[in-house]
Amino acid sequence: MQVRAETFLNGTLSPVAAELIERSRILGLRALTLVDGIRVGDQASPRRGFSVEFAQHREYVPGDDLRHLDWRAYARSERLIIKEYRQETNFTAHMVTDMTGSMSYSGSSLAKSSMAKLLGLVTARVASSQGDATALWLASGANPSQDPCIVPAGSRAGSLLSLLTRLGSLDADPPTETAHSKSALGLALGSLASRSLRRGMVVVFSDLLEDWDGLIGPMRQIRAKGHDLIVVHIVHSDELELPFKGEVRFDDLESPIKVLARPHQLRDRYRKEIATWRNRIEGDLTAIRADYTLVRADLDPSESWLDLMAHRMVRRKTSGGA
Amino acid sequence: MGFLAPLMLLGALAAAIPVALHLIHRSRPTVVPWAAMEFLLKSIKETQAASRLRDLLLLLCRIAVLVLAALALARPTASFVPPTGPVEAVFLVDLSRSMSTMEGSDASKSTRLDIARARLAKMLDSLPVGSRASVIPFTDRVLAGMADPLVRDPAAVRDGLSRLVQTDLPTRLGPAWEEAVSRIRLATLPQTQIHLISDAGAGAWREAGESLREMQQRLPGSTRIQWIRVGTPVTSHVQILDAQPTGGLVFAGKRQGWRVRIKNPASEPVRGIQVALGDIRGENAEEAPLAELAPGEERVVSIEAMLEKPGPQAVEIVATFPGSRLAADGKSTRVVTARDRYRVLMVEETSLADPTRGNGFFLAHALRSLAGEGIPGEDRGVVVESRTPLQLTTGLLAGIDTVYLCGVNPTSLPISFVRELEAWCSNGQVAFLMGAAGPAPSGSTTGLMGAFARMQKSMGNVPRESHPDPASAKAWFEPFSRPPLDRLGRVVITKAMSLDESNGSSTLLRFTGGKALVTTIGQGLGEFDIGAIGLDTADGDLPLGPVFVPFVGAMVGHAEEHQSLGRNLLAGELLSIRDNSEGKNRLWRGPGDLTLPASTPPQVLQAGTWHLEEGGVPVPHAVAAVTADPSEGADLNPAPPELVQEIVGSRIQVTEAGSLAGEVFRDGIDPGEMAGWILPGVLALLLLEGFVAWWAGRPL
Repeated sequence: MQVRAETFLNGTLSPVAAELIERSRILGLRALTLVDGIRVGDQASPRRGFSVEFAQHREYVPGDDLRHLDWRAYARSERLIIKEYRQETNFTAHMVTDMTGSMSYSGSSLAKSSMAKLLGLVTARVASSQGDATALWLASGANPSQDPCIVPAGSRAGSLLSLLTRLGSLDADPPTETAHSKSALGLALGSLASRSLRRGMVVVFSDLLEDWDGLIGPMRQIRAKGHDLIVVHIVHSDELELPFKGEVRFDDLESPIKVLARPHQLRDRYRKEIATWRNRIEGDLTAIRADYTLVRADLDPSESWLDLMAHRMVRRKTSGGA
Repeated sequence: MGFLAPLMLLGALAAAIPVALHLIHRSRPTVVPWAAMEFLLKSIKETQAASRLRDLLLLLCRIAVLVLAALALARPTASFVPPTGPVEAVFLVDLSRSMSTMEGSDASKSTRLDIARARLAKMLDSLPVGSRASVIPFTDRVLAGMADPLVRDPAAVRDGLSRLVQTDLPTRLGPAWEEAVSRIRLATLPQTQIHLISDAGAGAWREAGESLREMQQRLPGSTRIQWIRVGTPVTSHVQILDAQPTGGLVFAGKRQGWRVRIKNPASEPVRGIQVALGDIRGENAEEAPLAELAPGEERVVSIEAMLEKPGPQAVEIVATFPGSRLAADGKSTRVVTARDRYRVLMVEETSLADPTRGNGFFLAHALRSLAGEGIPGEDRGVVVESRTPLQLTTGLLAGIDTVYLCGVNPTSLPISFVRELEAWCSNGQVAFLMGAAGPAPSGSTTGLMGAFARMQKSMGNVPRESHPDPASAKAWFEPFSRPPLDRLGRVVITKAMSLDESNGSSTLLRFTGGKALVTTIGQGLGEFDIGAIGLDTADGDLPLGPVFVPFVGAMVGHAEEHQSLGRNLLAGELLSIRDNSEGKNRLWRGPGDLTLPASTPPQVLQAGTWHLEEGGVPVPHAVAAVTADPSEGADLNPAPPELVQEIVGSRIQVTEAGSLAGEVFRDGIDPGEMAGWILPGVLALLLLEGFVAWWAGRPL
């Protein structure tokens, strides 16, 4: 299925995109970790409060509000026990969008960058509908000195509009002879990891075509800081299958390298390399308890994206909430 | 290994096509902007060696396919390839005179026919199981009586090879080829073959070239045509072309001159030649040596001999030299009639009192001169009976050898004489009628006189011919190089006259301008010779010329030849001498004790002297001399294979028969075409190429 991200980014949602957002909204975008928010929301926070959801009992200490004394427990045991409830808050979804040159690959269908923008839009809309804040981070080799956080966190309607506008205006780097694109995502993730941010959700939209060691390091830091990390791996089927025939010249999108090859001879070897790479990514991300999903840029993203959402929802319920 | 179509080897240049395609393809690749370059580079690095190997294999396969295809189209042949599947084979076996040429060293001499027989037997043995074969013996014709015309089991055909006997006929490829094509077209087995076992020379191939090409077109495309080339070149050779008594007449008991024409048709000079002439029993043989005969040279050897007894008898002429390989060509026989007296009847209207006005006067003197009369001690006995038409009576022709009618108007002849003369001519006797004109007598029953009248009438009407083309003029004068006109030497008569040469007449004498002076026309069973030696004294200057006596000798010789019609003949003709006596149990006995039934005139195939026998006893004077066509001896060397393929086309495959002691029979396997083996190889390579192409990801 072809999805035209540009269309709904400009304000008119295609039926497919609208359905994707609606179904995502039903499933909800919940953090699986404890997050810190500014306002009260429906997301579990590490703090104890006095809302609806029971958390624990504890001994009364002077100064506690007597309203929270569990009188029933006192009647049974003649001890003063305070009944505590979990405090619920909102969270910030940091969307890290890879717009390096490699994301411009489209084959004969939607470019990977467009898919990243589409899924960013869905994420932002769902989060906004939950009252959560969203921030937009950009990984690009075009201007290495620029702050990767191009749209700071905000949960107001104006913030969402600003983010969507900026998201819609993003384009993948044009083919360049510089090597900045080769580390742009790592730099953006490193920047995010190094900042003192409330614990929230980090969603990475990228083809991950960088040195994996340079990416997994910042991802570990992000997880170590308590962020819920979701990696949406956007690839094109061509990159997985290498389906070309005859004599082909491959021009690198991020360097001047040009290679003449006959794909038929390489295909098996290439697929093995890709499989090894993906296994390594999945293994490393599983190890740091980050979520991973593969989205093909040339196919309908609904299935893999909604699978991810549903999977997270199930995990959240079985774990009883964060 | 040889090739039947070597030009097709140029197709191997197509081996450059895969290389060119590779280069063209390489220069126009599809361009793809690519993101996952890291994995691509890694894959390339790890698969590069295998890719190169596959590419190289593919290139080699494609080149090999094209080279092998070109090789197959060039139709290579090799002796180690056995034929496959049953075949229907037709074997053409040459039995011409040249096949009696000796081959091999002194220790293991054999004739070409021996080699051909052995080769044929070997080929019959090596035919695949289930094959069928037939043999076509041939010379200038198909000798159907020597082999079973039906297609047989090869073993049965082999048993019949003993019936193939040598002949003295010349080679002509056309008739046998025609027969072979007919048999192949009736073949029922899918694989067919024609094997020509022959020593055919360039002349035979050239003569038949056009028809052979045309006949090939009628053969199925799968028919294999092979020439088993028999024999090695003959560099020294001598042929006896002819032998004639000098004066045209032979008298018994007197030494006479003979002119023997011999020729060296080979490429090297022949030295130490001995020419001998005598009667058939070898008695009274005379010899004349000849030091050297150059290549292509023809020479007349004069030799004297004496025949003791009168009557028809055979004379044998032999030319020998050291190292002769075809002795039969150096041997010839001739039947001549030795006479005690030569009796002529001279009829002319002019008065003998004024002899200078009639040709008879000059003729009589020329005849006497030919016979040596007037020369002391050389009286040969020419008897001339001179008559005017009014003096002609019945019974005059008894004992007369030749009649000369000089300046006689046919209508002036008594009808009784005309009838007797016509009957006399029909019995093989000869009359000359010269210098007369007029209608045929009303009593003529055979048209003999009428023919003469028409001849005279046409003399004034035939337009004179001219021969600006030297070749044409040479053709006109060609008869002067052959007997009997060769005795005339160079004709210097310049006065032009014309005679009609239609109706199968032959020319006895021409002027240097190419015009016929004397022609003859055969009549009925016998022959009536008509001559014109000037119509009047104004034109009759021939009798006064220096060639008149030799001319008369030519006339007499010509008459003698016709009188012995059936006695001197070429091999292949019917043996039928004029012999009125009838008898039972008659047969002809010839050279090598060969016999032929005499009930009907048999076709004689072997040269030599043949005697008629009745009940085992020779019939007196019933003898015939059979000679071979000299053209055969002039074409003794087997034609070069390249020349044959140029004449007939490259479809014909040429294989050397070798010799009986040679190396060719070592393998005992018929040489075969390799193309049939290469084509499956090409197909296998194509399959391999397809697999490698798929493997290498390069369908083109």
